[in-house]
Amino acid sequence: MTRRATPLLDPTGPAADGSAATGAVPHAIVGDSLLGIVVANPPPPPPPSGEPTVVWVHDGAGGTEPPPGATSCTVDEALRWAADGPPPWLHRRRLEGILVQYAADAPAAVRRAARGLRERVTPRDVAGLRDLAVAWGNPALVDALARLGAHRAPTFADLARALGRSDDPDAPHFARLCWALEHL
Amino acid sequence: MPPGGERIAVLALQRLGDVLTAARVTEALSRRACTASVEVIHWDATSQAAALLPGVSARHALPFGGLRRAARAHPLAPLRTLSRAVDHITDARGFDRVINLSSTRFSCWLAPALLSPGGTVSGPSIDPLGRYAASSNAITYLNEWGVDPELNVFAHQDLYAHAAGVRLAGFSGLREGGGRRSGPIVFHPFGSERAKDWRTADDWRALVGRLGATFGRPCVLMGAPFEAEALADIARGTGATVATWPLSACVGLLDDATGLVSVDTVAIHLAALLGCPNVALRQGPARGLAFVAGTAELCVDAEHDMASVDEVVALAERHFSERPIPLAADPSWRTRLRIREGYRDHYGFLGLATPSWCRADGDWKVDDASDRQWRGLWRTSFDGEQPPRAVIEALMNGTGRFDAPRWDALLRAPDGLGCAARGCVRGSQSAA
Repeated sequence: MTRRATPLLDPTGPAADGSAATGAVPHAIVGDSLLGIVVANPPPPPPPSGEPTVVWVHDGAGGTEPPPGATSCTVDEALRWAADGPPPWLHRRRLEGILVQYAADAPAAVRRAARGLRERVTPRDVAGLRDLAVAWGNPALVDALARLGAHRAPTFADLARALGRSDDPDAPHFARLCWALEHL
Repeated sequence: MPPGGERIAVLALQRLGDVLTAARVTEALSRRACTASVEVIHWDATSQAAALLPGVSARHALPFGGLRRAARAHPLAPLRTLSRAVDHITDARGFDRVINLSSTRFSCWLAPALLSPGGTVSGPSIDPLGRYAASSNAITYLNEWGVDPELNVFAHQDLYAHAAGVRLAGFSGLREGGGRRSGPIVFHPFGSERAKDWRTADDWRALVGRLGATFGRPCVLMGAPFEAEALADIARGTGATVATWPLSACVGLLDDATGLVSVDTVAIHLAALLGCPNVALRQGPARGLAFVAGTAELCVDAEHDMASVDEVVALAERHFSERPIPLAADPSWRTRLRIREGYRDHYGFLGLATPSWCRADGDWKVDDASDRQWRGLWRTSFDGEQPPRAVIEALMNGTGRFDAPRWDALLRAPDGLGCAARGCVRGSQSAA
């Protein structure tokens, strides 16, 4: 089966499915869903080794250019990813870190959407970090995070101290790396 | 000794210029019969400098910016990156020796994480309980006396090299014999910090024009690519060329150059490794003995006021000449400037002393002798020996400009030398 060209609707013209006759307003945008068919955007290339993925939220109005290497994300996409979960390619990059950014002069809607997406993809609380440690497959960190209170976002020093109390044989090594990062 | 020889890591997590000072360490360690390999670990931003280090079998770059950016997402992101980098570098085996060439806490925490079981760290490190650990008295000195221009009497790279057990004398640099010194005069006007910069673009332009005319040689302005516009502004009307080249390309330039005039930056360290005479215009934190690049360097330290264009022209003219004509020191210099050139003492430690062509009053010689005596005192203690009482008494009664603050600091020192100093004071009081 050959894939159709990505549909592009003209909001001022008649819709291909005849919805104009029913008064429905076309709403699909480039690269998104149309008539229940999901047209997935190809995942962007991964960032250089050691770099977090940068997601640039915007409302398509132009203005400030996204930083080099950033992945463009519309407000609609950000809202949907925050509500329904990020696409698999973005989900896989949570461990390496995802930075959700927007222009300094972005409107409130963009800021709200970016904040929602950030809370979804970059957990800073103990429970979210524990999920990430499980996904990493790092029992020393899982054990250390289980020893931390859930009331705040742990720092490198908190993690290092918790690792110091862990019985896992790898805990001293990761504690040392955490102390190093605390002083980066 | 592990079978097959020692696998050694040189931890050079510093700026560009400091990474270049690791050359003596990597070269000396690689020539040892008991060394299997020397590998350098550096920040990704200093790859150009790491590429110039001799005797290195592998270079590993850690992503400084990447780690900082990942930390803004969540703490596990940089931890995973660093952990994977360490696993990749150590290759499941680890290093028999880690030579740590910087005193940052990051480096001190990281160094032991790279060791194989039974391996040792040379230089500063932090033990599992968070206590600072120095592998030698030279590192203890660096930690306790720091790089204060008034107190410290050693180049910091000498202290790290001494702690690594590297012989200080006999290193010939990157090019044995040096270049022909018939090439251009090179200028490097901008340092890594604005506090280190010398005067204005107009002053640099005047300096370039006058030195070019004096020597009848072309002039080249060196700098980073993002400084190209500012360099072009300085070059305007002087006929000078702007070169924002990679560091490897600058090796050829400085190897043949007549001389270099620079603020404290990577260029002076590269010039020192190539035997290129350089005039370092140093102000702010760059002053003193800690950051001397090498013996080819004439340090012009601003005490209260930066050297004028006329003064720099007169100094460069002599420092770049094979047979310099004597220069009478201006009486105001003693309060405004310190003008000294690098030399290595009998033990290979870098020192600074008034140039032979500079006619100055006796106070300059007293200051130079004071530095030499303090260096001798500490060198003896680095070897684990107690200096003779007469040496300590001479320093107690020293009249150099920094003898008093150094003596006060020594009296507060908890170690054996501090005890000996306090004993001298008690002895002199009871004799009185």
